[in-house]
Amino acid sequence: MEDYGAGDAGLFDPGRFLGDGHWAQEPLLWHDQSPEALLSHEDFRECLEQVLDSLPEAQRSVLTLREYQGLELEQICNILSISAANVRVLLHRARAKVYAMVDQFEETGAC
Amino acid sequence: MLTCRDLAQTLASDYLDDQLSWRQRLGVRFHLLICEHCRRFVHQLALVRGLLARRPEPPPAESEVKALAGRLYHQHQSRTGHPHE
Repeated sequence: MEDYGAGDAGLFDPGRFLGDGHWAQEPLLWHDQSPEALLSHEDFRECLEQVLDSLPEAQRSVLTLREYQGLELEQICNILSISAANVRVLLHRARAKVYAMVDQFEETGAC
Repeated sequence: MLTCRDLAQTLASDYLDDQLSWRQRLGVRFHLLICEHCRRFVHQLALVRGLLARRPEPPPAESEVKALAGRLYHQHQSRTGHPHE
């Protein structure tokens, strides 16, 4: 498994932050402040499936094992035969992509 | 001194997964006390985690349904000796 999705932008886009490390623009406050509220929108559920499908395989595997299957990070390392550091990077990148999709949906009503 | 960029780009997930050293955790907690934007970001990132945990399981693919139906049909046949009851 070598695809760590290292070229992802999203929350890693340097333009989101000022030179001193502060947010260039404050994070959008989402209207929907619970998973249930977000998942109640049919359009949103479709967007969620789309973004999960678009993730590189390694990111999707780690995200599924952690969030959907509820496995500990150590178990994920063993199953996928990757280091703990890589699991943490993959997990954060995958979450960041989903976060960016929710941001987009909350701002525009579409993804 | 920990910055918003550090938190958003590397530390937030580790914070939610309880993967930080006590020193890093203390730094993040202090930063969250003084930074409303990062509090919002971490809160919403935690919401993303909850979202994925509560995501309804997608319906099985047509091929999976057919395979399962086939297995059940054959089990039924082998038990009763009749193709249909």
